[in-house]
Amino acid sequence: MRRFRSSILLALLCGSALSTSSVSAQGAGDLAIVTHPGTPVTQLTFTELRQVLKGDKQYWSPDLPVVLFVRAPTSAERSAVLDVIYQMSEPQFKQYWIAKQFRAESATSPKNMRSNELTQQFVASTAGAIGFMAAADVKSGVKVLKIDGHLPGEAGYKLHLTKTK
Amino acid sequence: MRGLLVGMCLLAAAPASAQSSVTQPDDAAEARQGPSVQFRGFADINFAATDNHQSDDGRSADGFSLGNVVGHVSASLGGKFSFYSEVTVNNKDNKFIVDVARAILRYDYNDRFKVSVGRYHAPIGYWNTAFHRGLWLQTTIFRPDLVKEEWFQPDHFVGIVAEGTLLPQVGLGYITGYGNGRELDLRDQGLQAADLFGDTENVGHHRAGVLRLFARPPQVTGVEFGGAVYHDKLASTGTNGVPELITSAYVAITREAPEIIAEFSNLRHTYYGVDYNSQAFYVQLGFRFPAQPRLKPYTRYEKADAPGDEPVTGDLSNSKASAGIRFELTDFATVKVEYGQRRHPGAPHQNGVFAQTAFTF
Repeated sequence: MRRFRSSILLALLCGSALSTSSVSAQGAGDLAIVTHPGTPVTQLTFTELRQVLKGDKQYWSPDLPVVLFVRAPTSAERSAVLDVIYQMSEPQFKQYWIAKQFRAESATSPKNMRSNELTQQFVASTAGAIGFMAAADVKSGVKVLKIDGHLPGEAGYKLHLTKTK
Repeated sequence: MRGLLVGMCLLAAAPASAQSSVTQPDDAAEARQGPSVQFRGFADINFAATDNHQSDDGRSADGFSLGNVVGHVSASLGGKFSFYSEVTVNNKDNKFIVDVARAILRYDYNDRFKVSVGRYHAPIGYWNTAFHRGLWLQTTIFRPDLVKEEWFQPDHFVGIVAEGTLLPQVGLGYITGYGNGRELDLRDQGLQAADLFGDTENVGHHRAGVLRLFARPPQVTGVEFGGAVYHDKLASTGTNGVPELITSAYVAITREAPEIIAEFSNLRHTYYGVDYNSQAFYVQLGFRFPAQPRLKPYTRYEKADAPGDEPVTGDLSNSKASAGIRFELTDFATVKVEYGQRRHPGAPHQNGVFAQTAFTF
């Protein structure tokens, strides 16, 4: 009986480990949208996310402006966001922000982050900040937003580093 | 020469802290604490070879010409205030003219309400605010006639403007303003002009109002459409003023493959009880081939119809067809080559080949 219980326990542990491994592997290929912990949102729809990242929504609340951090060119995270959210090439993305400032629609442009570690650091320490990074690199100190009701690693999550929507 | 020096000093005075379209992380902290200034410049150099040996606007001879040198500053002043300025230096008749095209101080309450004062690109249609003198931003060499300086509609607007989002779900926004009317001297049109106080020297003492509604649906990228109403009363001796009403509509699809921009505007002047309606429109198509992203062929057709006895603008009737190709030298510099044919009623067609290099820095 004791051997039987041990077998069940072992099976449960293995199953649990496999399950965690499976979610982790799936989440590792996902792109997490992260915000400063004090940002008054826990989820966004995909279109709301597009408005925020394109600078069309510039305030979380009247006293809390959006501060946008993006990954530097050539990163997989930036490529995925340009492809899926902005639907622009790199030159178009540059021209978009030049034009947005020229039209006096935004006084600032996104801040370039050279690594996910920097993204984590700046988003965690800047009120109103939002950025994106590989889900596998997210550490405590930032809030991961649900997009269309899903977190990275969950079925139905739309943002992947593999650029597929 | 003094104008050129002043202009270059103004351009050079802006800090060169942010030369790229996306700032570096170093200024992330200071953006929350105090002034964060970003400078950008635009410039263009042109060549024209035409039938009548004149430039496209007829103001100078064809050949090589320096276009605009534009310095644009955007600054976050801390809190919810920001400042935008645009200084241009133009070369006309071998003289350099410096113009503070824009100077705007804005307070943002939130996304729904932002209020500002200053001098703006008149927010009547799409092109005038989207590209204006930043010729690198626009696909073509020339602005459409519809938006060229004070020709059909006002170029600038000085006053107070409120803008914001009405329905974020569909990207519906508004811009409304109250300020000075056209920077137009009716005496140039041969009219006896004076303001309501009989002042014949300063005829710009009238006020204008503008309301523009637009939508940028967030469900699709690169699509904007909208319309505007602009009302002014031009001063003219012997009348209570010449009411001017401009109504316009536009659609702009700027996804590059394809690019479609179309605008229509109706201009109405009421002079001694008689309405004079003029119409102008343009349709522009462009396509950047995914396989050759540096190349972007384009074409545009534009036309204006106006009564021959229009009292303020005169007969504006003409049309122009153009086709060209834009080649990106880098992400920030381009070369454009364009053929255009302009037709005026009862006059020979004017053909021209034009080239331009435009860049931002």
